[in-house]
Amino acid sequence: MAEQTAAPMQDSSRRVAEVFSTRRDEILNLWIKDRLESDDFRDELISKKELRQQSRQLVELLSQGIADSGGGQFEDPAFDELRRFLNDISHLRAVKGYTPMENATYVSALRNTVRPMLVEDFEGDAATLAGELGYLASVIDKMALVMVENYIRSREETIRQQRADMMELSTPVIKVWDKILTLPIIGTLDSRRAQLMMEALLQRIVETGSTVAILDITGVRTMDTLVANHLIKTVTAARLMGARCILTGVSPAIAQTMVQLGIDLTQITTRAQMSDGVKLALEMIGKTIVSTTALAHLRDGLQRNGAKPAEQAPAAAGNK
Amino acid sequence: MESTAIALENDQDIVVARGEVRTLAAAIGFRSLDQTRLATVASELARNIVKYASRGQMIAQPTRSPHGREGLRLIFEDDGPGIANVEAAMTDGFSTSKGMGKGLPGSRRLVDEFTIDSAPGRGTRITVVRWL
Repeated sequence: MAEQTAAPMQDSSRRVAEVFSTRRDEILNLWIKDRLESDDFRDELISKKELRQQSRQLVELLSQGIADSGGGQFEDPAFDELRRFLNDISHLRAVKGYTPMENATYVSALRNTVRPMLVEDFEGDAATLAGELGYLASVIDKMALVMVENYIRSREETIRQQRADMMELSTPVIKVWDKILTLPIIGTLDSRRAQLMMEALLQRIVETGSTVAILDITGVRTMDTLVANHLIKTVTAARLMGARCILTGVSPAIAQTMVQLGIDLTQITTRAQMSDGVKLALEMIGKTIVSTTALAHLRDGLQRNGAKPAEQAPAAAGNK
Repeated sequence: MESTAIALENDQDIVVARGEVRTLAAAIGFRSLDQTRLATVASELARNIVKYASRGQMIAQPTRSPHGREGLRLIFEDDGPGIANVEAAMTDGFSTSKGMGKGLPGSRRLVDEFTIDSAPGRGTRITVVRWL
């Protein structure tokens, strides 16, 4: 790339425009042949037919741009349609799994296809040749840059979207039972997320009339003083709303780290496992989980007692 | 193993620093509890930089004691306002920002070596080491 950009630049070109208008099909075929034969061609990502179609359209738009701008620079509005097309295909190729390098190489290869045609023409005129090659390089380099830039842009867009999704996903407040909420906390709890989490929890406490909330931190790997502070604040705020919190899923490593950091979580009710938290929460609202066999025994006993209320005392004595 | 430097400017950088420390600690052979200790220290001290100095950096260096013991050294440095009273800042419950006041003294308890060099207007440099 350096050798061409180092050559004297010129603002416009007549010869490159001419080559593209008179030898367009030849350029296209040579370029496609070169691409299909190169190691970069990945038939698992794109079919030959699709590559041909894409390349044909690109060369047509490029020829059109060069002709309409009178061999002008890539910034000329005549190249607008080409720029749009490059945006489209780089996005398409990014989705298919091409790397930015492969996208850039695809476009840059076009320069190697056209160069010999110019060299042929200007064999004796080094100065003009350098100028024409410089123009060709500048247009094609910019095309390659558009491909790379657009690839990065679409990746950034994806990352932004994923971050927003994570934000949403990370604060689900789930009603597990009448008056009982759970809040599974996963990953990093920065100030913004902690704020969202607290708001979501308090909102759901009001909506559901819940009196117990289980905060599960099984998915939290590191808990520093800021996160601990957020948790304590959340618990205090929930208490003001009339709900008690149970903290579950504290890993042994986090428990020991908390103690060494000197963070006092003793005012928060904790249970090792989420399941223990659920059990405790049920007790707090005056409910319990009973096995069906135990329930059947209980029912039998009640029925017997109901049928012969007079025998109640001796039967109870007999059971002992 | 080579040392790595991580620029600290925002919350995301703190997450990166914490992840890097955990990975390095695991590579050196620290067990899960020590990985968590080191990641927590990184979190505390990196957050202090972002909070008080706006920007700075963390350098993580796998290290070896003169007796051949392996460990991890973490250096946190910034050109921020510095700490006026280092002794007070190292006391439990002292905070200039409504925090818990546990960050610095707590971090000291989580590592084997802790040195702090700070003065108003000169920035702050904290070096911690935990041995395997």
